[in-house]
Amino acid sequence: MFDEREPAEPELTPELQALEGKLARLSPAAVRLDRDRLMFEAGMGAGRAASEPSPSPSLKGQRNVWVWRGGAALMTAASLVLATMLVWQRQEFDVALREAKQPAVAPQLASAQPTASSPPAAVPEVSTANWIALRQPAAGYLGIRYTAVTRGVDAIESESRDGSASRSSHQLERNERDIMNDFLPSAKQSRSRS
Amino acid sequence: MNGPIDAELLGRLLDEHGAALALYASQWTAAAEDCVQEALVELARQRQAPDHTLAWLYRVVKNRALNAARGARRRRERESRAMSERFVGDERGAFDDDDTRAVIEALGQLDASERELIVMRIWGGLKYEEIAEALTISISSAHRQYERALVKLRTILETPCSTNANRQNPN
Repeated sequence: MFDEREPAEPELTPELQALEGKLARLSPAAVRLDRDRLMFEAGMGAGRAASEPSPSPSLKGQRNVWVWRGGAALMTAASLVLATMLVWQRQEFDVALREAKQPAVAPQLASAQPTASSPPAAVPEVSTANWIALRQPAAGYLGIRYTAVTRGVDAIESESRDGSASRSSHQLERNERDIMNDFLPSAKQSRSRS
Repeated sequence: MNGPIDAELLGRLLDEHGAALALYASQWTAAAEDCVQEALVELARQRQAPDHTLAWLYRVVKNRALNAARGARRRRERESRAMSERFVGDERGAFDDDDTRAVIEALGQLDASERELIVMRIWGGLKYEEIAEALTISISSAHRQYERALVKLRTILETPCSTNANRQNPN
C-alpha cells in the first residue's frame, strides 16, 4: 500500500530515464555460490556469535557503580581530613591569640649602652606555649595575613602606620650604632671597657 | 522492527540481490562472489537485522572487496575485466555484444564513486535513501551524484569511439 508520508523519489529528466531503462536491460550474471555451504557457514557463524559472551549492560552498570562509590568514599575521606585540619588549626590560633593578649615583656633592644651597674635585663622565658605566640609572623605578607586573620582588615592599616614609624626610628638608631662600630673601633673598645 | 536473521531471509537476499552485490563487488576485486558470501555470513552473525539490511549488505560487500583488492597491483585492469565478466547481456535484444562492451567500457571510465552509484541504483534497485545509508551521504547528495554520473555516462556513450571509427574507416 502506498504510504503518503514516504517522500517521493526525485525524478530524472526523460533522457536520463531512458538511459536508465536501457542500462537496466543489461542483467548481471547470477552468483555461483554453493547455497548449502553458505547456509552451513551462516548457521555456524550465528551459533558462534550467540555463544560468545557479550559485554552485558548489567556488568557495565556494576563497574560504573563501583567507580562512583570509590570516588564518593575518597572525597568523603578527603573532606574529613580537611575538616580535622581546620579544627586543629583554629585551636592553635586561639592559643596563639590568648598568649598574644597577655602583657609581654618588651625586649630591651634600645640604644642605651649596657652598664656594669645596671642589672641585666630580664629575658622573658620562652615556654612551649609562648613559642606559638612568638612564632607569629612579624613582617611581610605573612605578617599582614596574620594581622588580617586575627584582628581584622582594618587593623592592617593602623599597624602599618605605627609599625613603620617605630621601625624607622629603631632602624635609625641601629644604623648609627653600626656605623660607629665600623668606623670607630676605639670608641667600641672604650665602650666595652667601661 | 528488527527481527533475527533466519535462513529464509538469507536465501531471499541471495536470490534477489546476490547478482547485483557480486557486480558491485567486482568493481574492486575479482573475488566478488567470496565477498558476497562473507557478507551474508556476517549478516547471519548479527543478533538483530540492521535497520536497512540491503544498505548494510552493500557496505559490508564494499569493505570486503576493498580489503581483498588492497595491495594488489594493476587493480584497474582487473576491475574492468572482473566487471565485464559479470554481465550476461540483454535477453530482450536491446543490446548486442558491441553495445554491452561499450557500456562496460563507459562504466570503466567513470570514477569509482560514480560507478558504484550507478550499480547500486540500476542493477541493485536501491532507493536513494538506501544508497545514502550505504555510502553515508545525504539523500539529496545521493540523487545529485547519481544524476551527474548518468549524465557523464551518457556523454561517454554518445562520444564516438576512436578505435571503432578507425576500424570502420581505415583510411
